[in-house]
Amino acid sequence: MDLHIKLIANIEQVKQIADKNSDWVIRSFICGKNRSISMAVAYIQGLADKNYIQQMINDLTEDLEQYDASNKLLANQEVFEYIQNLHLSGSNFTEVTDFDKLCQQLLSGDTIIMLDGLSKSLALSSGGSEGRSISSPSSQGVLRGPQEGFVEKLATNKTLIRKIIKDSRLQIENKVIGRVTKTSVAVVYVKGICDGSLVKKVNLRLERIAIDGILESGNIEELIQDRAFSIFPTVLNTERPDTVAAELLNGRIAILVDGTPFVLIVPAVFVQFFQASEDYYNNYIISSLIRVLRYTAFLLTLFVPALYIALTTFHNEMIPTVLLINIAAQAEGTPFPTFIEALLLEAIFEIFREASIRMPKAIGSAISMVGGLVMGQAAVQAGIVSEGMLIVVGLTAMSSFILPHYNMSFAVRILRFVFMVLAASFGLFGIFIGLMGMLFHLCSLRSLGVPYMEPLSPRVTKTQRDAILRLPLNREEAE
Amino acid sequence: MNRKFLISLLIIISIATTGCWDARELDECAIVSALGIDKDATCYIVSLQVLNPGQIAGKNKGSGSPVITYAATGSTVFEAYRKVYTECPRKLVYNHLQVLVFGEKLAREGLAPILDFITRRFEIRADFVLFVAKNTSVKEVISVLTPAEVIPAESLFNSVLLAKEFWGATTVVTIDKLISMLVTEGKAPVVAGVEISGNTDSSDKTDNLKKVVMPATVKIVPLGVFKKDRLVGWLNERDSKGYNYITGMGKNFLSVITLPQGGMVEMKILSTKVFLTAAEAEEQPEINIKMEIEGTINGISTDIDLLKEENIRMIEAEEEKEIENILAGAIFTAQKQYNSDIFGFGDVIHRTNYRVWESLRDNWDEIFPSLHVNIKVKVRVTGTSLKANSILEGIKR
Repeated sequence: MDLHIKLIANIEQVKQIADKNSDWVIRSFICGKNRSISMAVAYIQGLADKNYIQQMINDLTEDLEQYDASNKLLANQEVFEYIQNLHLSGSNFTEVTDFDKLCQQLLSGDTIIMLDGLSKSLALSSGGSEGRSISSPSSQGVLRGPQEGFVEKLATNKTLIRKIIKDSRLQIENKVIGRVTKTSVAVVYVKGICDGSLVKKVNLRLERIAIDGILESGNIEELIQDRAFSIFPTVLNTERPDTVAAELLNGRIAILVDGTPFVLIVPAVFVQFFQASEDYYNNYIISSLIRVLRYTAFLLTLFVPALYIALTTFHNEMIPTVLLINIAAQAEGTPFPTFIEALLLEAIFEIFREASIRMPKAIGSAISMVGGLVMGQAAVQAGIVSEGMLIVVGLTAMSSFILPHYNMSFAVRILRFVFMVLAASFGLFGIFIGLMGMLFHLCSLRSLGVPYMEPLSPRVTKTQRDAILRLPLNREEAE
Repeated sequence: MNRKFLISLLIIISIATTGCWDARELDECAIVSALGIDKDATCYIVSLQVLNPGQIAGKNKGSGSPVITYAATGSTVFEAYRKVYTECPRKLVYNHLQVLVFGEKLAREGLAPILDFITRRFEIRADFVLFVAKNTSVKEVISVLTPAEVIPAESLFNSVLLAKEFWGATTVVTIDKLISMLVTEGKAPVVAGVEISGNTDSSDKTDNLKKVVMPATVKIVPLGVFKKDRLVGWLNERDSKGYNYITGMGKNFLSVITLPQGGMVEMKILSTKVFLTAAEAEEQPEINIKMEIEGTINGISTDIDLLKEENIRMIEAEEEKEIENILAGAIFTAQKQYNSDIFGFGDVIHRTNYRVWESLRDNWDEIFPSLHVNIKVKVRVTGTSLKANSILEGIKR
């Protein structure tokens, strides 16, 4: 519905839309030298910055009085243009001509300025809603590197990226997704570095989303994935502006979602989940070794329980005699088969892990004490599990925390159980079949059309320098 | 279509090529560390040394015996071995077998039927060492407890590896090596000997572990000589060393000589090179053994001046004489006493000139005892270890 000419009618209409909402504020006032200009401002309490609006109204009335006195402006159109072009020249505003748009702007924290006698109004961006201040990222901390993390506010997040990439080629396209939540989403890329077709693809996929609510970037991640059923993440998420900037410079696209500090990066390939931004700030030899360590830990957390089961129950000729005797001595007292024992301990561990996330922080230490006692001491002393198994599960647990992106460790958590079942029923043969299946699956995955295992398979020599290892930056290129 | 075909082919192949496996929990397994096979008048006697993991590692280790010996008899090895289950509550697994001991009686009757039994079993690893029990029963050898290594089989396994290198009169024969020696034309096998020394009354009790001087020990003795798959006799220590010299195992050996002017010189061998070649002289085959030995003087018991080159040359010459004597002695024993070609001279001829071998093969047994062997040993003393002259020189002065 378009706006009326009459201010009163517009005010009524807005009030009607507001219905029973008490936080919608609409105030009309008269200004100008002869009190001839009647205006109204509308905003939503809490979303818009009250101080800013007060200041704005004060300034506006004062300005208009002076201007009116000197210029004798009478027509409402002239007042509108004055406000638009001179008074608000330093602010960000949009022209609004219909109620739908008006409401949307209101709901995203804008202040609407309406004038009598004009069927259009101004939406002044006055978003000053309460938010968290910038702090260091909680899920992806680093020792060396910027300590700033994204926050829940989209505008702040955009600024954080702009602050790093000061180039006009950095493009931030805005979108609104979610029929009810109308969440602001920004697609960020660097023109010229990022492949244009990729941007088109992302936009297409975002536009195709038909859902009531986008509450977190995870919703979008799920909806734009190439294959929904894979447990491997094909979209990277990060809380770190420097990671986003680095990926943008690699020609990738970032998707910022209002209301969450987690920014999505597409396309994401397998090796990215083993890279931390810190890798590039430390000596490359150390970074390369740490990466190798991460891959090792990945394999450990995936295979150690399965291998333990396979070797002890199927292929004990592969274990050195002395070690086998040790394991056998421990197995003497335990009542369960190795597989059940492993399953039991892994399940206990998963319970503790999940519990420690949900528990209030104050109880955390109690949980860890109970966990340590139950898992470590009591279970072994009671003869329910063996020490060897405890070491295996402990190693697995520690290794799973080494991955810099925790959604990859989710995948590993599930697969570990799959491999354990395979190992318990077919031994090493089962593990290898499972491994083959996993590799087939990984190679068939795509992230926005990019093969998931790139640059390993298909082999891309150019980016190999930064795949498994982190070789030194190219000096000549840098100059 | 093609892709699906390939994938299904892959799956079928992988299912069909699984090999042998079966799941068994470790606490249902009896790990066999030593296997002994002997024969009495009619039956095979199988003795097994089974590990008792709870006594070797774990919380209450050391309170009982670390191993258990099971024994059973049967008309075939398999039958005897299955009878063990009348006593043993766990599945026997052989993949950690370290020692296989043959009884002397069995060895004298021939090993071939037994070898088939062992090598046909899929789960046996081929890295265990073979022994022949000399003058003692196999079960007793397997039952002696050893203090230094908790597992007796491991004790025997480790000590034969060391004895081979530093003592020199034994050798490590694994099952594949034995079979390869058996099937090679013109080569007869040797197998390390083992015997019990001391009082066997308490050898199988943990009392045996509680004394500084063990009442009973399992001891490695010089080599047993085979002809085909039959044990024909035993070499003495010197001949066993000679055997090892000829087969190129002489590294780290100690060679002791007495100098003409009196006093002993001990040389430690650093490297040996052996060249075995076949030749023909007056229509008769002969073997040339050329050895190049490098060593260092390890000890002298006389005041000879080692800084003088002629003295070193003299020691070298004496060493050459001594080693040549050892080799000749070993060859003489093999030829005249046992008529068993343990050095593989026939094989050398076979490899050098198979036409000649063709004509010799059938009556090699008659030819071998009188085969002429030329021995040429070249010794080089390359150092005198940490000292030059003996302190004896200073004491005399």
